[in-house]
Amino acid sequence: MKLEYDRGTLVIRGQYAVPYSTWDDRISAFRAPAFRYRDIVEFLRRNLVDFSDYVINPPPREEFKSIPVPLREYQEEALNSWLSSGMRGVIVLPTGAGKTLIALKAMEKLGVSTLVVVPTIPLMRQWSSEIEEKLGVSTGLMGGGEKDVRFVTVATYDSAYLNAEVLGDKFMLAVFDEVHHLAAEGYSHIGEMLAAPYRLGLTATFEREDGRHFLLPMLVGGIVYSISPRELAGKHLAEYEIVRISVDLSEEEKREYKSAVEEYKRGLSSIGLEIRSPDDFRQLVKMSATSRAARDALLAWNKARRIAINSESKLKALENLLSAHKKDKVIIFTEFNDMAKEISRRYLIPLITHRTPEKERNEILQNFRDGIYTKIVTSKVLNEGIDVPDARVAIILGGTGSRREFVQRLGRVLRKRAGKRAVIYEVVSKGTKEVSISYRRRRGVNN
Amino acid sequence: MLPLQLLRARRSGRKLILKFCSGRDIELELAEELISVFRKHVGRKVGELERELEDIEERYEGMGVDFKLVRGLSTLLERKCDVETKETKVKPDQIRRIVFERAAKLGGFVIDEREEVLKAAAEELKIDPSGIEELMWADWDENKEIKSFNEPTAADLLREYNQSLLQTALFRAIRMELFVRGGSGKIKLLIRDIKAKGLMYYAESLKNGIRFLIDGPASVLKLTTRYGTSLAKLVPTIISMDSWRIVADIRMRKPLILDLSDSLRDLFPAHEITTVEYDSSLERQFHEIAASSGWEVIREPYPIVSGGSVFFPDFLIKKGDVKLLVEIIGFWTHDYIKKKLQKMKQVSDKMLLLVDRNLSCSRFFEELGDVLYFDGKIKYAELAKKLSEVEKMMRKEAEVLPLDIGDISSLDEISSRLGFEKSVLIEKLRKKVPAGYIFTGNLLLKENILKEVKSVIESCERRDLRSISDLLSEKGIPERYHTALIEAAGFKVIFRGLDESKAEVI
Repeated sequence: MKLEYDRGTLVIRGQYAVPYSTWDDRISAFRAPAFRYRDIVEFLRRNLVDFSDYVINPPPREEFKSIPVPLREYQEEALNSWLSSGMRGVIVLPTGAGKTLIALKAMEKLGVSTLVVVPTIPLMRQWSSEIEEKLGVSTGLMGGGEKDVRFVTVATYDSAYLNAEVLGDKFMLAVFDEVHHLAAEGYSHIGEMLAAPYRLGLTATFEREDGRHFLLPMLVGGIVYSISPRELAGKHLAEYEIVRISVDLSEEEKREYKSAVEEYKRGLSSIGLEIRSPDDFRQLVKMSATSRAARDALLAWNKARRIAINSESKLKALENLLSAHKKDKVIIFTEFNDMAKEISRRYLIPLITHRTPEKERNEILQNFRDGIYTKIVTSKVLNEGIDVPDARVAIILGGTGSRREFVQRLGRVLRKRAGKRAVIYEVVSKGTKEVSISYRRRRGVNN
Repeated sequence: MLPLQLLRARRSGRKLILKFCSGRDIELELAEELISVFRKHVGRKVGELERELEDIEERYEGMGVDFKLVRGLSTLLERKCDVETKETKVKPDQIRRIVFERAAKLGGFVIDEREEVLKAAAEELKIDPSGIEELMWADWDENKEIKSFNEPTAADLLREYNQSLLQTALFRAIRMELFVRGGSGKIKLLIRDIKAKGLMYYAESLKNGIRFLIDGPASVLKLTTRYGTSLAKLVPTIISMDSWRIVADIRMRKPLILDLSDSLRDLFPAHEITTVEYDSSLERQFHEIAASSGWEVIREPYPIVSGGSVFFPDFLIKKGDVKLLVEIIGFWTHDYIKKKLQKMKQVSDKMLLLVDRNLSCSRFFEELGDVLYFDGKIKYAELAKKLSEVEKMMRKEAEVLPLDIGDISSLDEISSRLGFEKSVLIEKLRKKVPAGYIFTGNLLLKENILKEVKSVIESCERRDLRSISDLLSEKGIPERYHTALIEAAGFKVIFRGLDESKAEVI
């Protein structure tokens, strides 16, 4: 019997079927998803079947140097738990608790070809320089125009999705940063098409609102270690408090808001839909593709939301907060790019959006670290993982009701700094739907 | 290809019906108007264009035109634009750095000092203070400038839209069934395209073309739309075939079938495809030599479908009624040769193979047909000699049947064994019967067998078929020939019902 890799799948030539495989008439052989590689090999060994294995073709080997930094107690626990679970599974740690270091130690321990998959290009660069610094190997990069495979390769989810067929047979270990992304319909192909027998998932938020995280145990392994922000607060992470500031809409905004909400309600009643759950809302979005009334209702809803989120009074509140924190490092988050741009334009605060060129983004972040800049404004870009050290204040102007986003934003200011207490301001418009969105967010965290 | 949200289609039962533009007046009018708006905005900001497009969308929606059509056409036109940040002496990010650094010194944000900061920064950069705000954000998307616009005609735009719409629907395809007809060159391109996109196919020969089932490696494991984009990219090649029909399984909320064919040809752009030139100098050499020795040379004559895949012989050469397939096997990787061998084994036509002597596995080719070895280059004398040998041999074969037909055979058996058409066989046998054989009725048999049959029948007392048949079987003659043999020996079999013992032999 012979096992080979073929573009995201395994081809098994031999007389008998093995588990997880299907007969493929086109090639007269059995075929199985690549991620079953380990299961199939274990099955064959258990049953003393002779086979030759041509599946993994790693890039030229490079030696890692040993990492001088020791792990913290809980990091050690997390790593051991992953190792003793057969080198598969997900570690759930709050943002800022040092997930990267755990992954690097795992790589050092195994010493095998490794693919690291990350959500964004800045994160790709960040992982790459961490790996080069701590393990002493230069990494291949996939994403942002780069396409280079090496013994250790860092790829964005987008790029790994597009190139899964080619990457699938190169690595023994796959590390998925922010692993909840892997469960998305498209990205799950990455997990399926990789043959890597060892897999490590990292996240602060295992669960997805769409429930698809049920796929992760199959693609990466179950949760092998989990610790909450509350357990680490004070000891390893900065303590934080959340301050909610409600602002009134201006008279004109109130009028526009009211009329938009009425239009929304009219639209809903004309198509006979009541919104009681996210599912109902998804139904509305679906209907908007074909029904004009539904589309109008959706447009009105967006308008109302924009008024609430982008209100002038919020900018006034922002001015007050900025004046109160003149000396502190502050990150301002907005829901929409327009709002972030407006804030940058009006107050001449450095802006980072997803369109900011990489060089400028790095420069802004470096200046922020060095204390040359003390305020920056961003839309959703800094949500995930990028190291923004020692901001003391976060101001959230609008945002969606998702729990993940909020946790990640929190993480930005939770970096451990002696004697520091972080503050998160949430500025919401009174008497608008936003209040309930904010409530949902906080409930998510405290649970 | 368009974003999936801009797909325009409806469902009819299990079918997905795409809303193509048929070139109605209002569609042409819309296309014209969009094109002229784009033309007008060359040298202006993207933001201005976008605002105008929104107006058009609203106006046409009032006339009952789907906003998705407006956006789809605009999307295609945007791709024909060259958009750049306006060229300036000082780059926007440079201005921003100076401005932000100055603001940072005042606490990281400014309210009342805003104008002052901008003015000071402008002075530092030696630019006009009144224009600094305009320049500072010149690289934001909406502030970028449309440099040039590659203008299509309205009718071409609609055709391009139709092709994009078809491709967009195929994004959600889990597999595609394709019926095509085309010359070897075109089919070869199609297959090349299928492989280059990482797809797989299973081919079947039909009376009137070839049926391909196209999907990807993992498709056999689960229904996946992973290969949808690759399938969509085949569209330009497919619609350039002489005749085509696409039947695709589409996964929307429900599984649907997309079924369309070249009856819609006029809706799509006409693609010029360049068929493949000679693969190698070896092929060119062969062509020249064969043609100069009086052969008619046809390159890539027809695709041969076998075992699910398609094989393209390099040449068919003809001289009178002698026909021969020719395949040149140059220096290739082991894997490639292995696959090639696998395919060629299934070909039943007579073949001449020109094989590079340096191939490690060259000897495997000898079982496939006549082989001429060469060393890097095909030599004129050797090839000409081989061709005339093969020709002579084929002519001989055409006249005399091989002698291994045994004591007795039916025409059907011979024709299926030798691969001749039955009519060709009869014609040959009428001209000449192999020595010692008799051709009679449907049978070709040795002379002495017929004598033996005659004597068996004459010596048999009972005149029924059953008894005579039993005697013939004792002589070792298979039962399936009995009736035909009896008749060949000059007797008649008259059936009276189904029972053989009641059938009379007279």
